[in-house]
Amino acid sequence: MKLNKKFDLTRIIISALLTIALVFIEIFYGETKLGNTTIKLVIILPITLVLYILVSFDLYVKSAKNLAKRDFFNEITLTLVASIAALAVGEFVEGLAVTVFFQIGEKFENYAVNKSRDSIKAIIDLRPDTVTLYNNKIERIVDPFDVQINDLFIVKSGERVALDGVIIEGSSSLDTSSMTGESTPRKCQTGDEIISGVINLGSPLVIKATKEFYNSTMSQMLELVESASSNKAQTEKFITKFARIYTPIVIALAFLVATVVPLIIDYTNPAIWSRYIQAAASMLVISCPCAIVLSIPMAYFVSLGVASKNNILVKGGNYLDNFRKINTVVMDKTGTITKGNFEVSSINPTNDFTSDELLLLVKNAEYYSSHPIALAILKDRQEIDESNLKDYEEISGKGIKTLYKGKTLLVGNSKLMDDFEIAFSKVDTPFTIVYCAYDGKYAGSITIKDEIKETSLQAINNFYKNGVKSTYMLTGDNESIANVIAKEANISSYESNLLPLQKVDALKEIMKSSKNNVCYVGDGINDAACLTTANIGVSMGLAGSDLTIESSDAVIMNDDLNGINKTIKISKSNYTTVMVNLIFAISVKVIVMILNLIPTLPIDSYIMWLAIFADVGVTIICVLNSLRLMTRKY
Amino acid sequence: MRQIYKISGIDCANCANKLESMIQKVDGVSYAQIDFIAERLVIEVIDDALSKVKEICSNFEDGVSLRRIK
Repeated sequence: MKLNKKFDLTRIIISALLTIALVFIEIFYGETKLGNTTIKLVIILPITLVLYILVSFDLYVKSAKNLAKRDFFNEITLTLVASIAALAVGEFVEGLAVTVFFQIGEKFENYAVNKSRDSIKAIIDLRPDTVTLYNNKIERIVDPFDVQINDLFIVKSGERVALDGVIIEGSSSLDTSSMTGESTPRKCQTGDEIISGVINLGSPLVIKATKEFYNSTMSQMLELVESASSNKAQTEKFITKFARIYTPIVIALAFLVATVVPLIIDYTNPAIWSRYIQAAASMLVISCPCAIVLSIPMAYFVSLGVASKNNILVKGGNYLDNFRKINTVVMDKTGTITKGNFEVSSINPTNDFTSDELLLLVKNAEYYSSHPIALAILKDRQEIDESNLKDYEEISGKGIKTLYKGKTLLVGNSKLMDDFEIAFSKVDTPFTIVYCAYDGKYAGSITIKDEIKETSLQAINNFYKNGVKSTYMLTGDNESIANVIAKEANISSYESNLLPLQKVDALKEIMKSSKNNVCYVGDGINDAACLTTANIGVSMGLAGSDLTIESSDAVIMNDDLNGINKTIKISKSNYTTVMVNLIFAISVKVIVMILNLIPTLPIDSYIMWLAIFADVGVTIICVLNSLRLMTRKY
Repeated sequence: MRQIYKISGIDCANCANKLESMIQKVDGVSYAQIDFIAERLVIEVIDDALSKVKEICSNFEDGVSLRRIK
């Protein structure tokens, strides 16, 4: 039965206020004589009954429906039984209070659930509701689901790109922060591929869709997050089982308390019967495992949402729980610890050349080359004047010979220098060295290497603070490069010269010695097998292949190893919250049950209030505790 | 066949657990899981049993609705 919202809320607020008033009237004037009878009977009882009907009629309807379906042990029916029991033994206000607070608890639960749903949606659901189609140069606004592959669509300034595609017309800059975590805008132009989820910051772009909406990067990512909470953690599975046995046990106990206990103590004494029927009623009130059943999945839900807000997609509560146990992190080198592309790391001019002159010479020489090293050197091309260059020649395995401003320019490895009898000093380093000679004179060398990311060292240092005992680097590169990178990044051990399959074997060895709490981090190129083998597989970058995302348990979208630290912290605070809720809720309920049964305690009239606190109060506290996870910064 | 539904209108977390176990008992359902907070029902079911599942859901509580998302 769905009631008008306004009416529903008004009746509960009014009843709650009047109930509180009645409590005080009962305390101070309950036994005051009014003619032959008491205030309790003449004033309190009628008002209570009217309010009781107002507050609980919908509960009776629902309960009747449940009974018709042979569902006897739902919390509505149990609450009503408890309230009837209280009314029957003359505790009118308590009987009313049970239903009033039950309703308040329900409303609060609804509010909290909706609030957490909304805020998680706000974090993760970035999908635009509409797309502006631009086929045949006519703008038409459609549902993103209706866009076909090869359709053209326009993304104007400030709009989010809905589908993956290729830019057909226009150039602009993009805010990719929500997809990659990269905060500086990225330039894009006609012909560039574009992933969904980025925001166009500049002039309009015409884009040709290369994937349907539901297959586009952003939708895939959201699917990952949304399905994450279906992968339940052990704790969540436990509480489901717990809820299934807890309720019947408490009900059975309540039955025994209401019948057997009075029979044993003194079955001729009505006060004893009243006392224990109330105790049983209060047990029925606390027989609902709501506090646990709601607050614990909510904690996981919120934590997974918080992780995705921090650019980490964790594929389920079970995986999230594993993060706090990590004692060993194994990493791939290229693309994980390092940037994965070559960069000029040092320029060493000699013989009166300046750094700029040397770099300009090398750039001119490499201008026509498509070698990866040339591409690293030529990152910005504008300062090259092609008219200066003549007679370009690539000498295979050695380098480049060309004429620059009419004089011979040589750029290449040491063999090239030897061939042309240039007097130069050989540099001893594991990295790639490019030597340069101009007009027969040695100009210096440039070191090129795959640098470690700015964030790697700090992230790895923080691993150790977060309970990681050892770190490993597995790489296919040679020993000397591995050694340098491992030192630079403060990694405790490394293995080099590994083929992809040998990486898996190495990983298995590490897992044996680390009690299976090993996290493997890779960029997904050639290491899908490692990601699946490790206890937790984390891939870097959403740009990875679908296979990578499928074989990993979590994805760090912004390529920053600090994501591991954040996830460990989220995992730990989530676990603490879950445990606190579990222990708090169960112990309050057990304590109240025990208090119920101590005959000498003068708590008769408080029994119901205790039960109400143990049910509604505890639920509210636990839910708030879970929601608190949302406000933490990582 | 694995299907995903948005399931809305369930009153409480415990009710969701009950509905989940009711669906799990239907013949032809090999897997069913309800995520109360995300409002998702993930189900592996043969086509014949699907109408039975839908019937259980709509009879479970007033206002419970299913919408296929995948």
